[in-house]
Amino acid sequence: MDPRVDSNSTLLTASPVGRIGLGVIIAVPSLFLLYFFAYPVASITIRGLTTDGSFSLAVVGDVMTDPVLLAAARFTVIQALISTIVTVLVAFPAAWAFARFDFPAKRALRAATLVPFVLPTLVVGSAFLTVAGPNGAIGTDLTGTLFLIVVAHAFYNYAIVVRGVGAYWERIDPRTEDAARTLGASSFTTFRTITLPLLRPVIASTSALVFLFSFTSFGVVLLLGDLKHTTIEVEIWRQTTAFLRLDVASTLAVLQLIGVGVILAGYGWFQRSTAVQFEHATAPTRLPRKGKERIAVTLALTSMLVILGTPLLLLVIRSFTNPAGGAGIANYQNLIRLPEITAAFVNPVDAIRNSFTVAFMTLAIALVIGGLAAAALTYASRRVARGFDLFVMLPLGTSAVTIGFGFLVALSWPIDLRTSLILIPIAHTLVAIPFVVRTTTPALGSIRHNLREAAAVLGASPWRTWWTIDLKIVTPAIIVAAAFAFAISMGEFGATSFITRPSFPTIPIAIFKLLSKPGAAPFGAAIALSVILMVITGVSMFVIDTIGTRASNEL
Amino acid sequence: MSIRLDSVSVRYEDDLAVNDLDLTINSGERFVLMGPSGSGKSTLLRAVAGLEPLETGTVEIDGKDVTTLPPHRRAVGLMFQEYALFPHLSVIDNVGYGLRMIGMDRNTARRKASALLDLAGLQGFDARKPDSLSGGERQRVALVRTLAPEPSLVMLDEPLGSLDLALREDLLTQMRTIVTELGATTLYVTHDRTEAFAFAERLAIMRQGRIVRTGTPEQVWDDPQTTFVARFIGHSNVLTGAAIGFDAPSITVPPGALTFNDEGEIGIHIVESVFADGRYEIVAEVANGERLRIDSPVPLDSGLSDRITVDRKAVRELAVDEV
Repeated sequence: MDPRVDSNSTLLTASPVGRIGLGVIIAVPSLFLLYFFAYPVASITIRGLTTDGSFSLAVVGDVMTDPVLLAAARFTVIQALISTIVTVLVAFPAAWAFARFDFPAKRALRAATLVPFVLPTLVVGSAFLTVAGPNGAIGTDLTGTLFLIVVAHAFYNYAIVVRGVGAYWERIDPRTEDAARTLGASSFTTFRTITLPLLRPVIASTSALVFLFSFTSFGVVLLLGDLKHTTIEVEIWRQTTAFLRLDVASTLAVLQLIGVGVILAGYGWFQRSTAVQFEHATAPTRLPRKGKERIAVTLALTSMLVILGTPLLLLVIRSFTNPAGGAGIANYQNLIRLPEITAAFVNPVDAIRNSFTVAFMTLAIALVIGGLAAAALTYASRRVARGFDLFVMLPLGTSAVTIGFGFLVALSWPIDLRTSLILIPIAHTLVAIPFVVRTTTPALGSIRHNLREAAAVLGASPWRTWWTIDLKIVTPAIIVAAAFAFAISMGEFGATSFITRPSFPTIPIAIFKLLSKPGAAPFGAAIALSVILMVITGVSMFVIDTIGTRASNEL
Repeated sequence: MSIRLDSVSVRYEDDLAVNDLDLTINSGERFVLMGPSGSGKSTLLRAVAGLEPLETGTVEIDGKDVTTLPPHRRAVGLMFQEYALFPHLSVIDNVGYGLRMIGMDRNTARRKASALLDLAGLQGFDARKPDSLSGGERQRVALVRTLAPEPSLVMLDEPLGSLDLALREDLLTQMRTIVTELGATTLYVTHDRTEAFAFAERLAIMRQGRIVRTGTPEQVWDDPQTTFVARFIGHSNVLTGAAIGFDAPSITVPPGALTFNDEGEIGIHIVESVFADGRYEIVAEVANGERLRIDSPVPLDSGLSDRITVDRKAVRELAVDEV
């Protein structure tokens, strides 16, 4: 008999929640997702696929035979595939360094990896344009090339691989690798036969995330692809805004959703089929040894700093380059003096306050909803968990634009929420939930059942067991999840642009408004505000990391 | 295969976990390294296996300097504490791993692994994953995995660490038989003196990265030489010499060397009588307040005064090396 099936059923009967509890745990995130995700998406779909109130599949036929759209679909898959492979390869050494070693400023460096991930796509796009755009720093215009898109995606998604793979790697006992070495395996063979197979589930899961982000990437492809290459996502936008073909856009959105569903289903199956239970929460880290090891760690961290640092450094330099030329702080001064320069005035101070409010609300909502969803995935039967997993992951494959647009189309029933600002953190939560679930579920699933039994025997009630064992063990994962939710909210642009009011700008909205104004002054101000967002996010990550670590040490 | 360590030091962050250590183990010998936790035993094993770089010194295996050789080219077997089984591989592939590394093809390796598992009483476990095994089963799988490539040096790091007592005695006997039959040089690490004495032909006691005593179990037991060793191996009467009229800072005397005798030179007060292994151990206090243990066939009442004689030939002087 497969022992995993056995342990799974034990887990269910002895899970801390019981049947009714499990029902609630599944119901709450389900209702949330049904109303705020499934319903709006369905509304868009129906609106797009009906002509004069009656159903019509003619549009689907048009889309499937349009050579431009087919090319876009093909390019979408190819660039996502290449971006994924490049991102994983490029970020892998840093994941190893973070998982196995101590080094100076480790915490700060770990926080820094997240910064690119939370920058608004338009700003990172602009930063890459300053490197490889027309009149860019390298002197060659690479816009419209696959290469530039892939590099930008690797920059963006680096953190997913470093944090995801790194956190999992920490839990692999290094003695397992030592055992292989003493049994005659060279370090390369050990890596190939032990380390890599053990990492396979997390490589699959992080690859899936990177693939999906590249698959549905909007701002980067729009700006750096220069419409020479388009993806399905860009086509959805173009069909909507340029051609007003909501029917075609909706059809594309539906096809994209189906593709995402297939990817996630396959990935979920793969992850379950190779999951391994670890006995140790985390293996000890140590300083790298002199010689090869120290050189390798240094190289890994240096490559990370170069890849992540160069565009950010250029961004910072640009922010201190005055619109009139020369170095100075004119761009920052312009943030306050802007009404004199442009009519599109947004108060950056308001934007910063609004972004913080929204980010904390998102963090709270996403942890509750995402945490319940992760618990449901862990405690439910495999059949239920499989379907539910797909459901929870679906928002990931839906573009933020679709979510925001869907809110406006659908959320007038049963009460009109369309003007409510609560929709902003809710939209951000939808984007964040897959991350929360993906980071907390493996940790919850790794808890050996005998720990719960041990707690029960020591006199802990089921809820106390959950509180003192399950929760404490997953605390590091929850901290990572919280960091992601906060970061995503800080940088989210697509959905927010549909649902916020002019009187309630967030930082990315303010940046976008500045970017859309012609002239060097608004552009410079946008870059300056981007740098401010970058600093806020970096500091926030660091604070969450620090507080979280302390909390998990106090039982 | 003989082992020679020459002034070996291993640095762990800021400390020397192994400090300028010399050790020779003869070919085919069952050698036990014992010491309290943190004394550097495991680090020493890892250094011999090539998993820890040396700060100073050399490691020779069979007269050949292997100090700079990577672990996979040393052909030594190391069974890890808590076993370090490969969680993603079945039992048969765990055992076959080392065989594959010496060039065996997959099928041959599996056939041989399966045969070895059968010999170890693990029939029918081939396809199981490590996380479905009991502690004792894991221990045996780890042992078979270590022995499968027939290393001529077998190192065992607390191999019975977390197992229950009955299982430990059984498995210890099994391991001793197996490594003796294989003729392998064996380096066994434990903090448990019972295990050490039962397994060792020769043993060394480690403390703070150094070896403080080496010898056969009999030699070490009979003459521990220092108070630390005497206490660590379980001598029950480690006293100041003055307690029983000796002119030495510290001595150890076996409970059997003390005899009740009304003419005896030492006066005692009985504190309590403890029944153990079919006889009584009498705890008694001497004039200066120190306590000693005396063998007796019968229990004695607490509070009684009595006298004893000491078989002076059985007393060993000790150097004081602890506070």
